[in-house]
Amino acid sequence: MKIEPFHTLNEMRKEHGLIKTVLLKVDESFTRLTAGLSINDVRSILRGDPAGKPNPRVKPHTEGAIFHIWPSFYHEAVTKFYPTFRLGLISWALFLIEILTGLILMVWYTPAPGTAYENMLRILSNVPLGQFTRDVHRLAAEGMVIAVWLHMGRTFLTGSYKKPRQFTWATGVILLLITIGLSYTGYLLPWDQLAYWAVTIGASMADAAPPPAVGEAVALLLKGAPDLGANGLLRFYLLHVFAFPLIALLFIFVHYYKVVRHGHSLPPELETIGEDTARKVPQDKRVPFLPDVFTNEILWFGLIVMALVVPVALGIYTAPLEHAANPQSTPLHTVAPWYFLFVQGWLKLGDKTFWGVVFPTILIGLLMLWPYLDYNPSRRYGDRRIALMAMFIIIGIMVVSSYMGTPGFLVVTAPQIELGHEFMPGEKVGPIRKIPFEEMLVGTWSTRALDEIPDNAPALQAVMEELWHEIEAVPKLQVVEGETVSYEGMYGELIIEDAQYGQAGPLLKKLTLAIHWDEQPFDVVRQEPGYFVETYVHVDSEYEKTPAYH
Amino acid sequence: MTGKIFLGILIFMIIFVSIGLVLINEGALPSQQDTPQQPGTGRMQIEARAQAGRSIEQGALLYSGNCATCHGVNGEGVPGKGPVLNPDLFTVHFPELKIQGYQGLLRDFVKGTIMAGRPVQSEWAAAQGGYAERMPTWSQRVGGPLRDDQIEDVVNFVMNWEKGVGAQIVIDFTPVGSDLAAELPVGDAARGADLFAQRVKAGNGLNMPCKACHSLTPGEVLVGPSMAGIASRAATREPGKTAEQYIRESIQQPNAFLVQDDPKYVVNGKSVMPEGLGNNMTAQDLADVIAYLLTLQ
Repeated sequence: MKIEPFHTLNEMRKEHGLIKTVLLKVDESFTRLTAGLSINDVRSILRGDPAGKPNPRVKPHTEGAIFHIWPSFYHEAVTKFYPTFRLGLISWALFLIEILTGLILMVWYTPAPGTAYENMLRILSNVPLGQFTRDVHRLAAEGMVIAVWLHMGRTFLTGSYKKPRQFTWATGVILLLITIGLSYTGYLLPWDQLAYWAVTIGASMADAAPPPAVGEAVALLLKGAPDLGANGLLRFYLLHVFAFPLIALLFIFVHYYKVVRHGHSLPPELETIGEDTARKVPQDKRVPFLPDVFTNEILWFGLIVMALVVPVALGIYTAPLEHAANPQSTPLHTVAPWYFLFVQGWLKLGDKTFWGVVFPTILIGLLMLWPYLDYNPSRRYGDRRIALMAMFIIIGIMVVSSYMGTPGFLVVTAPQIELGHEFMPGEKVGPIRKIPFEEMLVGTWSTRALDEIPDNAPALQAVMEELWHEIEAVPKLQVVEGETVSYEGMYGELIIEDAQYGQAGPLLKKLTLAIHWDEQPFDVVRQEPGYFVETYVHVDSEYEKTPAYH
Repeated sequence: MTGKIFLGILIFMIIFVSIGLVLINEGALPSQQDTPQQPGTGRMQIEARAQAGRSIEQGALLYSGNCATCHGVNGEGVPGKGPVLNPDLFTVHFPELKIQGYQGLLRDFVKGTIMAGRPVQSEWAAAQGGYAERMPTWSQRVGGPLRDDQIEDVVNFVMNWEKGVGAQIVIDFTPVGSDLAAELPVGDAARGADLFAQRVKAGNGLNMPCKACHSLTPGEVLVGPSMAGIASRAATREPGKTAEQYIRESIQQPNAFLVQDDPKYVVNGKSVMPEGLGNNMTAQDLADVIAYLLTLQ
């Protein structure tokens, strides 16, 4: 290599003049940062000029640390929306967005039971863009789980897991598990009722791991104590912000390296059966990474950020927050996060150890080893009828299992409890709390005398009418916990009382929802017959304007 | 490439307009801040007030479940069980604390008392006639049942009464007091049952505290004896008094006749049945309750 004579700044100034020297130095710095592209190269890219010869646009691939992992050209067939649907890129983009928003949220968060929930309230009420950041973080997390699942489905659909990409698939399954792990550990961190009980359900799976001694040890290791507490929260936090992201980055690197090493698999119809031509791209099919693929990916990045930011800004999506975690009080209808609903559904089928631990573990093992078990060399859709059918049947089973996991399936709750939960839930808001404060007229309002509700309280009227409809819909005879119960003569009452006054009027109202029917039990606390749910509503609570609590 | 640049600029603009929209509504601008005259209009200010409101709601639930038995549903106190909080905290206790040289805020005093309880009766309480039990500890930090955030909720609820001092709806009523000779109207047993069960309020607009100490289940002792069968027992309790006269005396002058057979009902020579109950009810309330109790054969 020839060593260029080194010009001092002064020599350059003498030769080119001051302004030109400065410009040359700026261009030189720019070229160093882009690992080989000068300002004029970038301008020619933006103008859409064809690349010169020799092509300066491959320099970042050979010189740069970041770009060297990307191939310098793609096969034209994989740069279209089909067959990748950009799902790998979307997952990666969401992962980066999670790191960014997560880092911001970490600033205001302490993983301790006494402070975590208070921190959440602070993020909502005292940090500019705090709620926005949290909403984006949560939405991107849900999106990432969906994107990774879809990515796997697409890979199966196009048969891209087949030789030589079996190992890529296996690392992908690990990344799926890490994604779910990230989402699940993050679920606990707000330390509200929603988080606490959803995670308690999931973490109890660890207890069921066979044999009992192992299950106990694993659960203890995970939760730090028999019940979730300070230690459990700290462990979940460290997994969420440190261990899982680190492992994810490692496996993303391995996964992506394998993708590049074998080339992006082509649409199945382009290849002869049993052949893999992804690495042999003819000259006329090459699409350079710089600028075509790179700019396309930047656009996709932008689209994803937009898809997260716009629904959050418009209030279409808001991350939920319930009351502070209370280990003493289990809310009705506690559910696992939606991506675990299928396990909750299976648990209703029987043994916790089998359906909750053994069976899912076998499935994950099968999923990971599937490319090594599948001996059908063809990636064509027509040759894989059984595999594709099996895929859709499994998707169907997952949907049905998830439905089985919802509270409505196979769990019968007495109708008065359901009514109380629907109209005045312990968590969330429910229709009664949403009645405007000034329409909460003091008195006892009954579904038997709907016309007694004054016309200046239309929302109260509407809620009581809704209650009447729901009560009418209750079957008169029901089997609850093995006993046939009669619900003849059922009616509801909403008792509204003033609880605290201020100088300008009532500040706090007490609302009691009473459900009565002919064979009602006696409430020992209230010393009167019926079923009762009580709540208080403060004039400032603004359940309509604070969507996190909906 | 031109199309991509155009699309990119469009996406960039949509993202930044969206974030900008959120940011200007956040409440970080000086014009959106809370001022004493006008509450702020920013999202964060609305959120902060809503959080305070919800804390009071939670506090109200905790108060009605844990505190109302001794301090009354509306902080009106229960004679002999717990002192009046509303409005005495603000009008009596705090000025008293200041006189004694207390340097802190009332809020801190309330919080400290709720958290740690009152192991020893204060001189002030003793001067009021004393209470049967001491305030227990409520914070988990000192062995009680409530978490820090729950303590905070109860404190917020209690302190919220301050906004109502002087604004409370004053109910005009004539208490029956401790006068055993006053003529009583005809009692309505059904209303008496409602009064006892706290389904309707007494003449002072508040709940009657009876059921806090008296069960209706035979033999069950909450604090005082069960009211089951009271009509039969009352008839023979005190020589020369009918059941009606005996029940009336027990309510209006609980120390006039002490039942000595059970030591847990008499402490320091006084009945645990609080004095001054007659100050919280009208003659009609008293007559109704007596009529109701006379139905419990």
